[in-house]
Amino acid sequence: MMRQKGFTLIEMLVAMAIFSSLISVLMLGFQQGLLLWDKTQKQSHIWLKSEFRYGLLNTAFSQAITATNQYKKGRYASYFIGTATNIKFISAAPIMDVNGRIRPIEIKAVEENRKWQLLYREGSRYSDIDRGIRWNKNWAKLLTGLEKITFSYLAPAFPLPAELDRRWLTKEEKLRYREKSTWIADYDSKQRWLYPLQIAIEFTDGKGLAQQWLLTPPNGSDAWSMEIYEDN
Amino acid sequence: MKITDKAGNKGFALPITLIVLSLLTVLSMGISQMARQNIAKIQSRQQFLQDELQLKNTSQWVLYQLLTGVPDKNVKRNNSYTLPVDNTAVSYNQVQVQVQDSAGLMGLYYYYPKRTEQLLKKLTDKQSAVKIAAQLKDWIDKDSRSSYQGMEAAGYRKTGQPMLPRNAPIRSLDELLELPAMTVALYNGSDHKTGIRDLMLAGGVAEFNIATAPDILLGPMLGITGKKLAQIKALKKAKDWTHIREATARMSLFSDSSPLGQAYQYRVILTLPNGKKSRALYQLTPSKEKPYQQKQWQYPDNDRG
Repeated sequence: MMRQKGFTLIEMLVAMAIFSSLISVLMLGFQQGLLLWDKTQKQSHIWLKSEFRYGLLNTAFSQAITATNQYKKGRYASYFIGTATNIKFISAAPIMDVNGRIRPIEIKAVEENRKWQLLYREGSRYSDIDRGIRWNKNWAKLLTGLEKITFSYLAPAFPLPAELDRRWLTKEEKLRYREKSTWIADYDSKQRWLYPLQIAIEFTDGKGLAQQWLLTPPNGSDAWSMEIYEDN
Repeated sequence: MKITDKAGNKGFALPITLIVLSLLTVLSMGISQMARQNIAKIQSRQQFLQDELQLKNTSQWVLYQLLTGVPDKNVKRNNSYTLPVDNTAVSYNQVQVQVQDSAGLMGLYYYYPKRTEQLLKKLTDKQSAVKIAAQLKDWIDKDSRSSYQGMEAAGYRKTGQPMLPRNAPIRSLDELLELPAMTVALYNGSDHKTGIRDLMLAGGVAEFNIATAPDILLGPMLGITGKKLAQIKALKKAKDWTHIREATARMSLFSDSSPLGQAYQYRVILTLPNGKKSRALYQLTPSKEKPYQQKQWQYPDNDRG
C-alpha cells in the first residue's frame, strides 16, 4: 500500500483555524498596543507642545523691557497692557527673532467654533511706543483646541501715601494704590507705574486637563532713566 | 500555495508566519524609533529645566552670601565664606560663579560720551569708537543737532537705516545693538576679547570701585593715562588698598566718594560644567520686604543680536 504524502483536508482546516486564531490574538494585541501608543503619543505631544510654548513665552517674559518708554505728550512709563484675553508688552527675547533684539509682543486668546486658541504676534524690529508700533499682520498659533483660557495679573502692593486722601484721587489714580499684591483681570502699566509681578495664563486643554502658566517679568529695571554729561 | 523543501516536505504555515512576524517586527521598529525621538525631545526639555534649576539654586546661594556678607573692597565677607565680587571665578557645587559689583562697571545712566569713546577705542578701531559714542549721544538726547560723527533722525533717513533714534534714555543694554555703527561681535566679545556687554550696564551706579573694576575700565573711568594709570593698575594688582586711597587723593580723582566702595547691585554669571550659562542682575534691598530685586535674568546666556 502506498503511503500518502501531505495533509488531509481536516488537518489543513484545523491547522488554518489554529493559525488564524493565533494571528487574530496577535493582531488584536498589536492593535491595542498601537491604540495605546497613539493615545500616549498624542498626550506626550500635547504636553511637549505646551511645555515648549511655555518655555518660549517664559523666556520672552523673563526678558521683558520694564524700563520706561516715552509716550506721546511727554509721559514716561513702562509698556505693559493686559486684559482677560490680551497682553501687549516689549521684550528683548522675542520668539521670532534672536535674543537681544527688542520687539513688541502681543498675545491673545480667541474663540472660534467653541474652541479657544492662544495666538502670538510680534511688532517689527525698531518699532516701539516711542517710534510707533508696527505689528505684523500674521498671528502664530501657540495652542489650539482649548476649552477655556484666561489671563490675569499679580499687581504689586502700592500703599497709598499718608498725605493722600483716597477721596480726592482720580479714577486712574485709584487703580494704582493697594495695600497688598492682588490678582486682577486688567493691567495697564501707564496707570500703575510698575510692571505686574506675575502673569498667569490659565487654560483647559482638549483633554479637559487644566493648566496654569505662571510667567515672571524682571522685578524692576536697571535702565530707569538717563542723563548726559558733557565730558569733552 | 504549497512550498516544498529539499526533503520533500510541503507546507505554508511557517513561511507565512515568518512573513507576518517580519512585518510586525518592522512596524515595531518604526514605532520604537518614533518613541526614541519623542523621548529625546522630552529629555532635552528636562535637561534644560534641570540646568535652570541648578543655576537658580546657585543664585540663591550667591544672594545669601551677598546679603549676609560685609562689603570689603573687592569681596563680600561673612563668617563662613569670602565671595569675590570683581568677576573672579569661584566654584560652588561644580557651578562656576562670577560676581561683579556694579560699581566696577561703566553704567550708562550717567552717560559720558568721551569716557565711552575712550573705552571703545580699546575694543575696536578709532573711527568706529568715535561713531558709536557720538551715535549713542544723539540716540538719547532730545535735540535734532547731530554731534560730530553722530546721527539724528534726518541722517538715519538719508542713509537708509531701517530704524530711527529714540531720542530717549535706553531701556536695555541690548538697545546698543540698534546703533548703526555697533556690531554684534563688538557687543558680545569673544573668548579672546571682552565685549561691551561685559563692561557696561544700561543704568549702573554713580560710584566707581577701583577694587572691583576690570583693568580695561580704569583709564576711561578715572580719566587718567600713562604713569598715573600704570601706578593705579600696579597698586590694584598688589591689592594695596591703602596706597590706592592715597594715590587717588593725590590725583584728586574722587572728590565726594570712596575709590573702593561697592554698590548694592551685582551682576552674576553662572556657568554649568556642560557650558550652559545664566546672567542675572540683582539689586539688594535689605530694608524692603523682599531683600533683593531680580532686574535681569538671561538663561541660556548666549550671544545677543
